Amino acid sequence: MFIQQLVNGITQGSMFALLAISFGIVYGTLRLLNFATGSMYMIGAYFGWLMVHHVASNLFLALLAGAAAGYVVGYILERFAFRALRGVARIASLICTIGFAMFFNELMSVVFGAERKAMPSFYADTAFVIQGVSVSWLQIILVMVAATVLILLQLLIYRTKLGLAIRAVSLDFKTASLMGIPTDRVISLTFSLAGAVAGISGVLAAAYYNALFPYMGNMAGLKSFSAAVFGGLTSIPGAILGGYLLGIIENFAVQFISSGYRDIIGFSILVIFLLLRPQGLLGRKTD
Amino acid sequence: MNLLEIADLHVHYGAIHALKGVSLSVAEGSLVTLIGANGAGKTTLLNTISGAVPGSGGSVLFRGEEILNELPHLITRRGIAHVPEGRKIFSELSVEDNLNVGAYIQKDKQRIRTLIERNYELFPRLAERRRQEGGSLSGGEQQMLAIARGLMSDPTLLLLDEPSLGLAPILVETVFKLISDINAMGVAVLLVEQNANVALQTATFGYVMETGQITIADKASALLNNPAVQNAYLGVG
Repeated sequence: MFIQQLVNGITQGSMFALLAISFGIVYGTLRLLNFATGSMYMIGAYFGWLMVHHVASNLFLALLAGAAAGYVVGYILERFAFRALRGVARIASLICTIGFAMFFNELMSVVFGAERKAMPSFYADTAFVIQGVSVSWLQIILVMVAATVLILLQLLIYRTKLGLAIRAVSLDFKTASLMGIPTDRVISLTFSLAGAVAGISGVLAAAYYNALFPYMGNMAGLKSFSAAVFGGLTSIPGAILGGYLLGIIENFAVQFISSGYRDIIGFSILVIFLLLRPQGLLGRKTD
Repeated sequence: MNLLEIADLHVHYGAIHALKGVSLSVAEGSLVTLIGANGAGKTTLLNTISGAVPGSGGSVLFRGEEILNELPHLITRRGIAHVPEGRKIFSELSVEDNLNVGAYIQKDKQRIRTLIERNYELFPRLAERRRQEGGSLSGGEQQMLAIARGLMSDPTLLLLDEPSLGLAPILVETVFKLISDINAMGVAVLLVEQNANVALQTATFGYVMETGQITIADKASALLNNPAVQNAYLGVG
């Protein structure tokens, strides 16, 4: 059972980690909590599903479609929830992201229906069995995709000129603009990247649970927000760690306590961490 | 034609008229200083030149082209580097990454390397600390880093805002010596300072600003001997 819960935890943790990092890059760059992160995840899942049902039944093409949809939604959010409200109190942007989340949820529910859609199974064959626990190819692919995205993001942010610009903008965007950095473009791109990552996470979730629905992003968004806070909102490795830990802890809680406590555990972690260590596991104690 | 030609520049912050028709010019390769009391509008003027603050009237010509209210990153691309008040280094980035950010507009990697090496020659302390986080440097080192970072865009005009602020007197001397050296390399400098004495000794031309207006414009050596300037800014007489 231990192995079973660990495998489940890592698989779910991968999706949390991707969403947590989506929160983390937006917060790190703009000091804005994007509560529409769950919607970018949900819309990503729908575009992945559209790809599978209308174009080609291929998981990787679905991931691309989800990433592209998330990218566009991220761009829209930056334009209307952030840039249009510049100079107004930051809380206005935050509330606007909540408004957008509701808007997107209802929009998708009107367009596609509020009921669950089925996502076909991909790579459901058993890859290997360890101590009686079978691990499917899908689980392996899911973890690998998440790891690849996280590594590529790390490389982008810490090894490229664009990444340096993103870091400079996140530290002090006024001074960054004096260095010749087109800050508006960098901020927009950061938001879009966060959207693409959330969209990928949404397609992975739809494939893993074989289902998608317009409100799937609500709980996923809130949980990965607590994962991001748990790890440290301003720290990218922190967000990844928080995502995986939350996935693993939740699954063990299900095993040792009761499945009814799954969500309680996630949010208890958020509350306890905010009380004891507001900067999270790896966050910095600045600002 | 002057490198920088400001004419009748006005800036409003809401109801506050911060700059009331400022005219000032900086010739190619010259070192010009702008002195004045706290709140006179010196920083506002630099911020308006670099595009960080919008102007409400007048003109700012750089190499004969209007740049007033252009976006800051485009103004940097034209060859104006602004070293802001309070240094504003990126404290969580290493010294070298601070320099790399300063070189954002440079496309050629070899050119960036050359500019970094030139900076390390000018500021040997920075070479020693290249891997350290910017925030761990002392005040004087941070000021040097801020100036070095400004030079990374290879500017023709360097705007310096209060480089002596918060520095020990011995460091002030070092920093101003460096400013002269940079000017000698052919970079025009517009230096804003409250420390009028050392600023006028370093510059060739000076302007005095009071409540958003230029009140005196003269050779720096003449300003040093001007009784009004001596009384108000040099603590003499």
